[in-house]
Amino acid sequence: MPEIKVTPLGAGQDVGRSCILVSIGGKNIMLDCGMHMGYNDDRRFPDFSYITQNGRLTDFLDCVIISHFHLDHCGALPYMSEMVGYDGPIYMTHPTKAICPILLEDFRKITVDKKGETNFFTSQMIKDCMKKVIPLNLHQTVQVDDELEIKAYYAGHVLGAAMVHIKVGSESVVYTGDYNMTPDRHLGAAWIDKCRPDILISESTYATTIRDSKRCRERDFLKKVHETIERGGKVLIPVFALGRAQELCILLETFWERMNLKAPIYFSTGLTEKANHYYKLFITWTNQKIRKTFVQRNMFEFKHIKAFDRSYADNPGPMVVFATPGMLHAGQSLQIFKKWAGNEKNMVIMPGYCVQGTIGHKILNGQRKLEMEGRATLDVKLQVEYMSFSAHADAKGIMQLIRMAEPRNMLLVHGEAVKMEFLKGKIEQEFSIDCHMPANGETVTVTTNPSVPVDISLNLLKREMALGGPLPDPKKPRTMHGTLIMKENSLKLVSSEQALKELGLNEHQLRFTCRVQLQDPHSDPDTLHRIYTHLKSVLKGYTIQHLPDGTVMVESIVIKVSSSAEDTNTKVLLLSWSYQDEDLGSFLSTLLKKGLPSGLC
Amino acid sequence: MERLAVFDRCGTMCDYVKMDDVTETLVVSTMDRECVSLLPRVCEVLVDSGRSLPDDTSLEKLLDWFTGLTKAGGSLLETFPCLPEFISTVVNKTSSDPGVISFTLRLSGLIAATEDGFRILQERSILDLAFNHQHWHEAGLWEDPCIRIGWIQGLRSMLQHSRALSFFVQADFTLPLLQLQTDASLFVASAANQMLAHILLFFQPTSPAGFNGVDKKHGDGKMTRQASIADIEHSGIPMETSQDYTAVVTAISEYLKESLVPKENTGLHQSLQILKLLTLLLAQARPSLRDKLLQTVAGSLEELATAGYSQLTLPLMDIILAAYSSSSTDGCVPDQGVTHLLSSMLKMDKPSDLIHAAAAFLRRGNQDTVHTAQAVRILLLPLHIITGQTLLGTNTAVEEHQFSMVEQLKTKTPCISMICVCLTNTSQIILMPPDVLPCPPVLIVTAVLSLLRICSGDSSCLSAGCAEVFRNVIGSGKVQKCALEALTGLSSSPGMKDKLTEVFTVLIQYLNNPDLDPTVLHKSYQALVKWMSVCKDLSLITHQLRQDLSEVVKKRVCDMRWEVRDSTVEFVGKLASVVSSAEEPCDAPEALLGGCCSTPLLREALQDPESYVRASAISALAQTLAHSWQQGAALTQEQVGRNYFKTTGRNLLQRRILSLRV
Repeated sequence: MPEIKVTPLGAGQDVGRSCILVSIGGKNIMLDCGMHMGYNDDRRFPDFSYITQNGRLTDFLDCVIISHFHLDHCGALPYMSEMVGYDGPIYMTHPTKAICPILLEDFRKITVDKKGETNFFTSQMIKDCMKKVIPLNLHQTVQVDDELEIKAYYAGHVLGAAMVHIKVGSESVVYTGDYNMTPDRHLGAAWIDKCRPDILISESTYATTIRDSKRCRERDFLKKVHETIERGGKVLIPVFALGRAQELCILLETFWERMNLKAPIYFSTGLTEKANHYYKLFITWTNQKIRKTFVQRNMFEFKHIKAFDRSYADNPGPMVVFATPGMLHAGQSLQIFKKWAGNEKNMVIMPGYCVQGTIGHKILNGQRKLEMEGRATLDVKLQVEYMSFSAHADAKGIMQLIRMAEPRNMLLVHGEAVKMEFLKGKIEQEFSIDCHMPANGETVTVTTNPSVPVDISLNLLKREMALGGPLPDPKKPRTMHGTLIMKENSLKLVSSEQALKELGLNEHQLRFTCRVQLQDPHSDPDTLHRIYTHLKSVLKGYTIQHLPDGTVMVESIVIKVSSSAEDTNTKVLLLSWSYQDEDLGSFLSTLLKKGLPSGLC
Repeated sequence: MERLAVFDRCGTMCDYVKMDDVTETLVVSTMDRECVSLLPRVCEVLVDSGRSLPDDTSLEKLLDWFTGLTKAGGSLLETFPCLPEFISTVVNKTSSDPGVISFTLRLSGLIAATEDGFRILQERSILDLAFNHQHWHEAGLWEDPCIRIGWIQGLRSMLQHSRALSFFVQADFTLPLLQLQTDASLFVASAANQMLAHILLFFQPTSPAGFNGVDKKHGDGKMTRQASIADIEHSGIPMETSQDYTAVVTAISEYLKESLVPKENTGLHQSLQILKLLTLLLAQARPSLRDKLLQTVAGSLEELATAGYSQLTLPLMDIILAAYSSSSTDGCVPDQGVTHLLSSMLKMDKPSDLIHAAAAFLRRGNQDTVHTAQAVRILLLPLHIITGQTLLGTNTAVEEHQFSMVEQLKTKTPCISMICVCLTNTSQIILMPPDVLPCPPVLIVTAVLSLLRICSGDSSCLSAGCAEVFRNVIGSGKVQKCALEALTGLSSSPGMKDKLTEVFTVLIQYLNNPDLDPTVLHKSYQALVKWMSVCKDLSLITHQLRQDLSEVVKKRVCDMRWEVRDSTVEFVGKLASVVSSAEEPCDAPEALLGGCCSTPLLREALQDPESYVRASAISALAQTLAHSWQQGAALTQEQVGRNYFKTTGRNLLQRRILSLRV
């Protein structure tokens, strides 16, 4: 039986990094190639030696698919392609291909230039890797090779995030990457066809989270900003140029309008240019509201949010500033942070993950004394808040996706084991399908129904139609008789005559024979006639003939009578029938064994 | 929460300490002392944690820190007297988080790696309980792969001295460890294999001088090296250790012998794991152990080789080659049994297995001439069939495989796979001595060029080779990339100058193809650069070819796809270095581009909408202009473009040029 195998090298009962191997129909696919942000050594990358110890990765893997630009999904890609040596196709959507190198370069700078780590990819490697990437459009089926095809679907989560449907023959798998089933302020909701995959591999970050939690976080965020402003403090929000920044800007703009607040909100210039560039490029990936707004005005032409100048940081009074980069490791956000860190009235809100070694990571871990360049120390007195605004599907969202795609099996990744266990129970109970949650390194094997394509000859179809049957309909399977022949590695269903002709074979008739003893005190011809009469009365609608050669024929069945040598009253009936009339032949032998009715003439 | 914060803080500090390399010198810095003082509280948090920790890497880092301290010569128990109590509490409390238990098992192994540490933990009966796998089975925790990993890695750390080996043998851990070889988790299975190899290799006795541990009885065609258990005993090792080691070797070898050949198809995974273990062992085993192992599994290996399981071909080949080459390096004649096995592997019926076996053989390095010649012929066979070039002559030893190979090449997937293996190995093939090669290397280049033409649908080549195979390779990017890589690799073999024009013609044809995949185009440029740099005498490149190259470069630098523009700009930059290394240096890359001025072309690229292309243009300009400077020309603003000089690009460019000049 054909089977699909799924082995997570990362994201199996954890959220460290995603890297999942799928073997389907003889093809091997890697889904995401993420980096673990918690390590400073080679452990940050998946251990590719588990994939193949003999030969190159390119020989083993048919393709790599990246779901979105977050580093825990794409961070190990240049390492794999340029340092380990993978030269095959890499697929990702257009926005992911555009944004991914920016993040990778940013991270490389921190790791190599700032922290001086070695055994890391270079800028040239990032570029060379990106040159191997084949961009995907939504809902466009891409043929990786003659047998393997992939199709991307909108996943929400971040700009360019995609779910992917992988198909080999009649077997298929859907991988969701990270997704969001509810539209947020700038992106739409994930959507997929009712594609009925054999396995749906879904993230489960918020497997037990309730739907309202994001609204709560938004309320919390606005409350904290508002309180700081009210007491005359300044709020710094370090952000990455793309993603949550746009969402938070829209959130604050609406709040300021509603509350009629006067404190200025600024955003750094680099942020505007980059964001506008990518949102213009990929406007079709945002939600409907943004698309409409974009037609009328520039994305960042907010009423309350203005462009930032570095001199504003020294202005007295409250203000809110969005500045890059998001982890406070360099640039404008770090400069502002240094200026404001000493005042306990101020606040810094970290809306996303911070890599170890960055100022962002240190302050989130409670460090209040920071060593800066030149051995100077910085006292952190301002308030530090962490709020995750990442958009993942919650339990309801995951169930909704299952309803949409109608998978035959479910496999959970990218989540904590305890939460997965809970969701697994729910899924199995509600959908009566198997739900798997392999740990890293564990392989789940799912057996699929074999499906072999067969061509049907036109003659056979015409004959079927001539018999008055309905036209062929894939949704209404029905029995069809023919001969299955295999020629040049393909299967054909043809009529038996055609099969003999095509294969150059002679026809042989197979006949079954049977002897039945009967007590009948008549002459042989009389007994035969009595049989003829009896069958005539029993088998209505059949062709029954009494032939001059002393036989009775019912369709292809021949009946002869002879007397027993010992006892003339005992007649021996010889029945012979062809394979096609097997049922009728069996029926007749049973019937005649019971004897002839006495009233027959 | 407060307790977890303490733990996080300690994790962060461990990072910090490690980053500063303080652990290397074991200087107890302020930070170290703070860590030491925090550790008892961290242990308390770990003992109390009933659920997963928020950061799954923190335990790993803590263990890294302990490992660092141990490596620097410190004693964990002296520095942290609280550890035995901590370990004892965790292993007795089965409700602990599996992650913490796994960490504790590994920590126990680390401490018990020294005899003192081992003794102290034993006195407190900690090791017996910690490594009693039944205890974890009964607690229902053995199902968790992290417990199994912790168990294996803990034992692995501990097994550094004879007392640990005795502990291992007395507790009868060999069988459970062998069972873990086929664990559902890849990580556990791999760790078990590593651990088995560690025991056999670490405790193997060093051979006495002149000892070769063999008693050769050649002649019956079987592996006949007679190695007895006594051979692996050594006077330098205590008798107890020797007995323990012998017991482990016997148990493991018997298991390998019994389980190597799968009983049915489902047992292939186990065979694969055993083959991997044997490869690990044979690569490092001393003669006595190696011979003992080979002697035990010889029959099974032969059986496997005859059975012809495709999945096992490569690992099987690895073992045979490891045995073959290690016995050769001992200065002995390779064992007849091994030689026989090797020969049979190079005569397998299934073409795809055969070609992989041949590639594995060649990868392993120089072997005997007969087998090498056979492997080379097998590897060249697909190219011979597809292109119709007589690479193997008419009377070849691989004729028996020709029919089955042709049949297999008619199916697309194996066809592409086999031709790629063949192409990947061509650069290795031409390094072989002439008596091994069935044809001159130039003919292999001709065949690769023919294949490249076939791939691009050039009908002029379609008459010579096997027409039914053509459809499988026409338009295949994978084959094209492999062929271009092969062509690049073949450039360095002698006598290739004559092929330069033909190579240029084919590569320019490729560059001209509007539908060409950007990655194939990139490799075409790489091949061009390599051939130019190897051939040195650039006068061999005709004026017409230079014109054609110039035309295609001008066209490609304006391509819709940034990947193509970038590769083109990079190519122009590399031309400068080719020119400077040529026998008769000419003025500039212009000379190679048929008079097309590369500087204006690159200047245009400085305005490219894609930042990657702009960066490549700066780099390429620097390479070109640095070359001009060396020729004595002054760098003018006109050369680079007045406008660009006003931008920050000037600094970048000058910096890049300076770095190149230095």
